[in-house]
Amino acid sequence: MAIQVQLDVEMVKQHVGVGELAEQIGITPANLSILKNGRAKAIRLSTLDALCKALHCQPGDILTYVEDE
Amino acid sequence: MNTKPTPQQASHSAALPHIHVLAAQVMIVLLFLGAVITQFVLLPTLAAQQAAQDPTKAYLQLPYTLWCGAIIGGFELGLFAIWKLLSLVKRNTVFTQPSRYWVTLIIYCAGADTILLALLLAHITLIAHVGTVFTNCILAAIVIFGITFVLIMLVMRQLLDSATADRTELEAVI
Repeated sequence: MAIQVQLDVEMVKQHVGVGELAEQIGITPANLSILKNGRAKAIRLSTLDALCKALHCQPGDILTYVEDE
Repeated sequence: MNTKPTPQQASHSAALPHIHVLAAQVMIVLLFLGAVITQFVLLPTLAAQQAAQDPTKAYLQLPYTLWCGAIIGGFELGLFAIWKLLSLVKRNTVFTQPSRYWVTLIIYCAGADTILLALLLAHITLIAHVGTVFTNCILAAIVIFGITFVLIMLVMRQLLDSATADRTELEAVI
Protein backbone atom coordinates (compact mmCIF):
# COMPACT_ATOMS: atom_id res chain seq x y z
CA MET A 1 0.00 0.00 0.00
CA ALA A 2 1.24 3.51 -0.81
CA ILE A 3 0.13 5.00 2.53
CA GLN A 4 2.67 4.25 5.22
CA VAL A 5 2.06 4.56 8.94
CA GLN A 6 4.98 5.76 11.01
CA LEU A 7 3.87 5.56 14.56
CA ASP A 8 7.18 4.35 15.98
CA VAL A 9 8.94 7.70 15.74
CA GLU A 10 6.13 9.64 17.42
CA MET A 11 5.74 6.98 20.10
CA VAL A 12 9.44 7.19 20.93
CA LYS A 13 9.24 10.99 21.09
CA GLN A 14 6.40 10.79 23.58
CA HIS A 15 7.94 7.82 25.45
CA VAL A 16 4.72 5.85 25.23
CA GLY A 17 4.34 2.12 24.75
CA VAL A 18 1.81 0.19 22.68
CA GLY A 19 -0.38 -0.79 25.62
CA GLU A 20 -0.50 2.68 27.12
CA LEU A 21 -1.16 4.39 23.77
CA ALA A 22 -3.87 1.86 22.89
CA GLU A 23 -5.64 2.56 26.15
CA GLN A 24 -5.37 6.32 25.63
CA ILE A 25 -6.93 6.25 22.17
CA GLY A 26 -9.49 3.53 22.89
CA ILE A 27 -8.40 0.66 20.65
CA THR A 28 -6.96 -2.73 21.50
CA PRO A 29 -3.18 -3.21 21.64
CA ALA A 30 -3.55 -5.79 18.87
CA ASN A 31 -5.19 -3.25 16.56
CA LEU A 32 -2.56 -0.65 17.42
CA SER A 33 0.14 -3.18 16.51
CA ILE A 34 -1.61 -3.82 13.20
CA LEU A 35 -1.60 -0.08 12.58
CA LYS A 36 2.02 0.32 13.65
CA ASN A 37 3.22 -2.51 11.45
CA GLY A 38 1.51 -1.16 8.36
CA ARG A 39 -1.00 -4.01 8.07
CA ALA A 40 -4.11 -1.92 8.57
CA LYS A 41 -6.44 -1.57 5.61
CA ALA A 42 -8.37 1.43 6.88
CA ILE A 43 -8.36 3.85 9.77
CA ARG A 44 -11.19 5.91 11.21
CA LEU A 45 -10.77 9.66 11.37
CA SER A 46 -11.75 9.42 15.03
CA THR A 47 -8.83 7.05 15.63
CA LEU A 48 -6.47 9.37 13.74
CA ASP A 49 -7.79 12.26 15.78
CA ALA A 50 -7.16 10.38 19.02
CA LEU A 51 -3.65 9.41 17.88
CA CYS A 52 -2.71 12.99 17.03
CA LYS A 53 -4.11 14.17 20.34
CA ALA A 54 -2.22 11.52 22.32
CA LEU A 55 1.07 11.96 20.44
CA HIS A 56 0.81 15.74 20.08
CA CYS A 57 1.46 15.59 16.37
CA GLN A 58 -0.11 16.17 12.96
CA PRO A 59 -1.61 13.49 10.71
CA GLY A 60 1.25 14.09 8.29
CA ASP A 61 3.69 13.08 11.00
CA ILE A 62 2.05 9.65 11.22
CA LEU A 63 0.92 9.06 7.63
CA THR A 64 3.06 9.43 4.55
CA TYR A 65 2.36 8.68 0.93
CA VAL A 66 4.99 6.76 -1.00
CA GLU A 67 4.38 6.10 -4.68
CA ASP A 68 4.21 2.41 -5.60
CA GLU A 69 7.16 1.29 -7.72
CA MET B 1 -7.76 5.50 33.45
CA ASN B 2 -9.41 6.03 30.08
CA THR B 3 -12.75 4.19 29.96
CA LYS B 4 -13.76 5.37 26.51
CA PRO B 5 -15.24 2.51 24.48
CA THR B 6 -13.34 1.39 21.43
CA PRO B 7 -14.77 2.54 18.11
CA GLN B 8 -15.74 -1.04 17.40
CA GLN B 9 -17.62 -1.29 20.69
CA ALA B 10 -19.31 2.06 20.12
CA SER B 11 -20.54 1.07 16.68
CA HIS B 12 -21.84 -2.24 17.92
CA SER B 13 -23.20 -0.93 21.21
CA ALA B 14 -26.80 -1.18 20.02
CA ALA B 15 -27.21 -4.76 21.26
CA LEU B 16 -30.45 -6.47 20.26
CA PRO B 17 -32.97 -6.64 23.09
CA HIS B 18 -32.41 -9.94 24.85
CA ILE B 19 -36.02 -10.07 25.98
CA HIS B 20 -37.14 -10.52 22.36
CA VAL B 21 -34.63 -13.29 21.80
CA LEU B 22 -35.62 -14.97 25.06
CA ALA B 23 -39.32 -14.77 24.17
CA ALA B 24 -38.58 -16.25 20.75
CA GLN B 25 -36.63 -19.10 22.37
CA VAL B 26 -39.54 -19.82 24.73
CA MET B 27 -41.87 -20.03 21.72
CA ILE B 28 -39.41 -22.33 19.94
CA VAL B 29 -39.47 -24.67 22.93
CA LEU B 30 -43.29 -24.66 23.00
CA LEU B 31 -43.47 -25.30 19.27
CA PHE B 32 -40.98 -28.14 19.60
CA LEU B 33 -42.95 -29.74 22.43
CA GLY B 34 -46.14 -29.39 20.41
CA ALA B 35 -44.45 -30.99 17.41
CA VAL B 36 -43.20 -33.93 19.48
CA ILE B 37 -46.66 -34.49 21.02
CA THR B 38 -48.23 -34.32 17.57
CA GLN B 39 -45.63 -36.66 16.11
CA PHE B 40 -45.86 -39.39 18.77
CA VAL B 41 -49.36 -39.02 20.24
CA LEU B 42 -51.84 -37.07 18.12
CA LEU B 43 -50.76 -38.34 14.72
CA PRO B 44 -50.86 -42.08 15.53
CA THR B 45 -54.16 -41.61 17.38
CA LEU B 46 -55.73 -39.75 14.46
CA ALA B 47 -54.42 -42.30 11.99
CA ALA B 48 -55.86 -45.15 14.06
CA GLN B 49 -59.23 -43.38 14.23
CA GLN B 50 -59.28 -42.86 10.46
CA ALA B 51 -58.34 -46.50 9.87
CA ALA B 52 -61.15 -47.62 12.18
CA GLN B 53 -63.65 -45.41 10.35
CA ASP B 54 -62.64 -46.68 6.91
CA PRO B 55 -61.16 -50.20 7.14
CA THR B 56 -60.66 -50.33 3.35
CA LYS B 57 -58.01 -47.64 3.71
CA ALA B 58 -56.47 -49.06 6.90
CA TYR B 59 -53.36 -50.09 4.95
CA LEU B 60 -52.50 -46.40 4.69
CA GLN B 61 -52.35 -45.93 8.47
CA LEU B 62 -48.69 -46.83 9.01
CA PRO B 63 -47.21 -45.30 5.84
CA TYR B 64 -49.05 -42.01 6.31
CA THR B 65 -48.13 -41.89 10.00
CA LEU B 66 -44.47 -42.41 9.20
CA TRP B 67 -44.60 -39.94 6.28
CA CYS B 68 -46.20 -37.22 8.40
CA GLY B 69 -43.84 -38.06 11.25
CA ALA B 70 -40.90 -37.44 8.92
CA ILE B 71 -42.36 -34.09 7.88
CA ILE B 72 -42.72 -33.09 11.53
CA GLY B 73 -39.14 -34.29 12.13
CA GLY B 74 -37.95 -31.90 9.45
CA PHE B 75 -39.89 -29.13 11.16
CA GLU B 76 -38.24 -29.98 14.49
CA LEU B 77 -34.78 -29.87 12.88
CA GLY B 78 -35.65 -26.47 11.45
CA LEU B 79 -36.67 -25.28 14.92
CA PHE B 80 -33.31 -26.45 16.26
CA ALA B 81 -31.52 -24.43 13.57
CA ILE B 82 -33.59 -21.36 14.47
CA TRP B 83 -32.66 -21.90 18.14
CA LYS B 84 -28.95 -21.90 17.20
CA LEU B 85 -29.44 -18.72 15.17
CA LEU B 86 -31.13 -17.04 18.14
CA SER B 87 -28.15 -18.03 20.30
CA LEU B 88 -25.85 -16.28 17.84
CA VAL B 89 -28.11 -13.21 17.93
CA LYS B 90 -27.88 -13.20 21.74
CA ARG B 91 -24.08 -13.23 21.54
CA ASN B 92 -24.17 -10.49 18.87
CA THR B 93 -22.27 -12.78 16.48
CA VAL B 94 -25.07 -13.46 14.01
CA PHE B 95 -23.21 -11.72 11.17
CA THR B 96 -20.54 -14.40 11.00
CA GLN B 97 -20.02 -17.46 8.82
CA PRO B 98 -21.66 -20.01 11.21
CA SER B 99 -25.00 -18.25 10.76
CA ARG B 100 -24.99 -19.22 7.11
CA TYR B 101 -24.84 -22.92 7.98
CA TRP B 102 -27.93 -22.70 10.18
CA VAL B 103 -29.86 -20.65 7.64
CA THR B 104 -28.93 -23.19 4.95
CA LEU B 105 -30.17 -25.99 7.23
CA ILE B 106 -33.48 -24.16 7.66
CA ILE B 107 -33.78 -23.89 3.88
CA TYR B 108 -33.03 -27.60 3.40
CA CYS B 109 -35.55 -28.60 6.10
CA ALA B 110 -38.26 -26.37 4.65
CA GLY B 111 -37.51 -27.59 1.14
CA ALA B 112 -37.55 -31.25 2.14
CA ASP B 113 -40.77 -30.84 4.11
CA THR B 114 -42.41 -29.03 1.21
CA ILE B 115 -41.45 -31.80 -1.20
CA LEU B 116 -42.65 -34.52 1.20
CA LEU B 117 -45.92 -32.70 1.71
CA ALA B 118 -46.41 -32.22 -2.03
CA LEU B 119 -45.81 -35.93 -2.61
CA LEU B 120 -48.23 -36.77 0.19
CA LEU B 121 -50.85 -34.50 -1.32
CA ALA B 122 -50.34 -36.08 -4.72
CA HIS B 123 -50.74 -39.57 -3.26
CA ILE B 124 -53.83 -38.60 -1.28
CA THR B 125 -55.60 -37.00 -4.22
CA LEU B 126 -54.41 -39.01 -7.22
CA ILE B 127 -53.70 -42.52 -5.92
CA ALA B 128 -55.36 -43.25 -2.59
CA HIS B 129 -58.35 -40.94 -3.12
CA VAL B 130 -58.76 -40.23 0.57
CA GLY B 131 -59.39 -36.97 2.34
CA THR B 132 -61.94 -34.25 1.70
CA VAL B 133 -61.71 -31.30 -0.69
CA PHE B 134 -61.19 -29.08 2.35
CA THR B 135 -58.22 -31.04 3.72
CA ASN B 136 -56.70 -31.29 0.26
CA CYS B 137 -57.00 -27.53 -0.18
CA ILE B 138 -55.38 -26.99 3.22
CA LEU B 139 -52.50 -29.26 2.23
CA ALA B 140 -52.12 -27.47 -1.10
CA ALA B 141 -52.04 -24.12 0.70
CA ILE B 142 -49.34 -25.42 3.05
CA VAL B 143 -47.28 -26.58 0.04
CA ILE B 144 -47.55 -23.12 -1.52
CA PHE B 145 -46.59 -21.59 1.82
CA GLY B 146 -43.58 -23.92 1.97
CA ILE B 147 -42.39 -22.90 -1.50
CA THR B 148 -42.82 -19.24 -0.62
CA PHE B 149 -40.97 -19.70 2.67
CA VAL B 150 -38.01 -21.38 0.95
CA LEU B 151 -37.77 -18.59 -1.63
CA ILE B 152 -37.92 -15.92 1.07
CA MET B 153 -35.25 -17.71 3.08
CA LEU B 154 -32.99 -17.78 0.01
CA VAL B 155 -33.35 -14.00 -0.22
CA MET B 156 -32.71 -13.65 3.52
CA ARG B 157 -29.57 -15.75 3.17
CA GLN B 158 -28.29 -13.40 0.51
CA LEU B 159 -28.97 -10.47 2.83
CA LEU B 160 -27.10 -12.28 5.59
CA ASP B 161 -24.13 -12.84 3.26
CA SER B 162 -24.10 -9.16 2.39
CA ALA B 163 -24.36 -8.06 6.03
CA THR B 164 -21.62 -10.50 7.06
CA ALA B 165 -19.30 -9.19 4.34
CA ASP B 166 -20.00 -5.61 5.39
CA ARG B 167 -19.42 -6.43 9.05
CA THR B 168 -16.15 -8.19 8.26
CA GLU B 169 -14.95 -5.23 6.23
CA LEU B 170 -16.01 -2.81 8.95
CA GLU B 171 -14.14 -4.75 11.63
CA ALA B 172 -10.95 -4.32 9.60
CA VAL B 173 -11.26 -0.57 10.07
CA ILE B 174 -9.16 0.54 13.06
